[in-house]
Amino acid sequence: MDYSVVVVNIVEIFAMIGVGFAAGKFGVVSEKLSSELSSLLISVTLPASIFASMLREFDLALLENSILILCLGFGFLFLSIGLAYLLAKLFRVPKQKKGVWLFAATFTNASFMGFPVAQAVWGNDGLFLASILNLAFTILNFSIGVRMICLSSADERKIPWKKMLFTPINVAILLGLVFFVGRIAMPEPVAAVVRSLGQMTTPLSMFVIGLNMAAGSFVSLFQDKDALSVSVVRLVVVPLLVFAGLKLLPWRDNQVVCGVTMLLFAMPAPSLCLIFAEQYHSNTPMAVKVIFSSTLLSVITIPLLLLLL
Amino acid sequence: MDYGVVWTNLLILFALIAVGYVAGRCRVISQEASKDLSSLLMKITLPATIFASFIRSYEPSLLKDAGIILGLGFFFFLLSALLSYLLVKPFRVAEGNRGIWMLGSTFSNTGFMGFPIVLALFGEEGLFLACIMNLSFNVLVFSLGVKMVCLDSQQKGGIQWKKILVSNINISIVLGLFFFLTQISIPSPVMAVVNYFGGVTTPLSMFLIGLSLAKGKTSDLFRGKDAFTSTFLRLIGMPFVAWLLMRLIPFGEGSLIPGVVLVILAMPAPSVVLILAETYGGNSEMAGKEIFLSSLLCIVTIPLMLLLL
Repeated sequence: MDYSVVVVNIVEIFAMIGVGFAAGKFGVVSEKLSSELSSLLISVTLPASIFASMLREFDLALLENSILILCLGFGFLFLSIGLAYLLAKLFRVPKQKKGVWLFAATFTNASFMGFPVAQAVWGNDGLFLASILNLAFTILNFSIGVRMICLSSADERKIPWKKMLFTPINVAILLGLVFFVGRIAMPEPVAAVVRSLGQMTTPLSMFVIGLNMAAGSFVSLFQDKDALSVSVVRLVVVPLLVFAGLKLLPWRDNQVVCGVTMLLFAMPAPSLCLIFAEQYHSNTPMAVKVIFSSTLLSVITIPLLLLLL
Repeated sequence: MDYGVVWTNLLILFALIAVGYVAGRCRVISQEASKDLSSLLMKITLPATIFASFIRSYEPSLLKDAGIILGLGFFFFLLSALLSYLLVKPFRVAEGNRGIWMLGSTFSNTGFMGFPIVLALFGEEGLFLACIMNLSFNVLVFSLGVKMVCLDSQQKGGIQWKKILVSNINISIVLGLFFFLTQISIPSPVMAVVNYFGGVTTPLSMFLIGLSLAKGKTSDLFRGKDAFTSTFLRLIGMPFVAWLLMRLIPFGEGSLIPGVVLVILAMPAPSVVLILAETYGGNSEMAGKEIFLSSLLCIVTIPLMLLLL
């Protein structure tokens, strides 16, 4: 891989986080914008960009890679779940923080941050595979993830299976696979509309990440050692473990699959962590700190980890 | 003009409007979101699009065209203002609607809708010219336009020159002109960030127009003839007069000027009509009707007007 091109791509993407951060800090846009943009992203633009990445000529190798990356995703997720429980014991994370800690150590911001970076580095192949890998994340964070969050709350854990499965993103993946595997040609104007909507995803998602960062404070970052420890696990320990695991497996030469897998496991803690913490009355301040600190540090760790590829 | 491309591009833009409409009707996106998303558009993505259109190699002829289109902009907006003033009586516009009627008939939605359409039809050079023409719109709508609204109300229209001149859009035009004239090269990662944000403008603005159409109640719309007569003038009368007059001017083969001017003048009533009505105590119900009706009917009239080219 030509590392200098990758770094330039990533710098461009992270610069947009900076624009969002500045816009939030200087009050250029209203505070409510972040939740409105998030829902626009989740229900319109992300599904469009995923679907657009799947409108392509059928390619058996890509289908094989999809199945491979899904299996790898489940494998490494279970591994990092085990690791998270082990490390939480080792770091003596207090019980009221444990739920969020475990969740953030295991799950990542695969969609908002992972998809744009995967697309910037590996093009549409990268986005295609990232959205397939994300299926493993989605299934596990709504099942095991919810259980984790509820460790620090008295709430009954009800898993919203229906809500989890019928998301616009999953519908887009399913439709995309139907068109891809069924080799159905989409009329060009329709494809252009989908691409045009999808084109908003990368800048808007980075902008939202920056807006959310603007609401946090840098001081709190170094006050909470548990937020810091989970960030290190999230951004360094887990991706290194995934990297080592990939090297041991027979698919180590499959650059795109290994790259996308490692990339998604190297992302910061997801905003879903905060959404669940609110929903299940777990430790929300902890979730805010974890998301902020891991997002900030990821700007340094992600380019470094990509050096390994 | 190559009509095949034109129709396809227009179809794509109108399909994006339809996506916004459906999203609004199905409440995928809350209707309050449109205000914050509009400000994102006006403050960040539209300035980025405009700036990007100015980053090009220097050509003296383009500068000359810019001067011509600025003159034509002032001329046609002033002519439209005069025509609408003279036509108030013959069209028997009701007392209390007159200011807004004139405002809606005179000024067109250059930024939100005009820029994406010009970009789709005439490329970046067309957009460059449209931005210059938009300067005349900005100056006149906040001076003459305010006076028109105040015909209906007892308020005195103080003109806020500072607010008119210092907007992100104007700043980006000045910056763009600076880089265009000096030909200072901008590092490519910076341009990549600008282009990422600029790429959001077209889909987002069309989406927002659809979202605002979803808000309107179609039943109230067809009551009262004033909104209809104003829409007729806006979408057909003014561009037709401009087209007739422009036939007298020799622009030379391949000039984009007549096309850009015609498209800009054929746009629906701008949302600033409603903003001015609310600020200066004009008839905001009438303003809302005018914007809705003209935005709806332009889907038919814009393609018709393009046939003139």
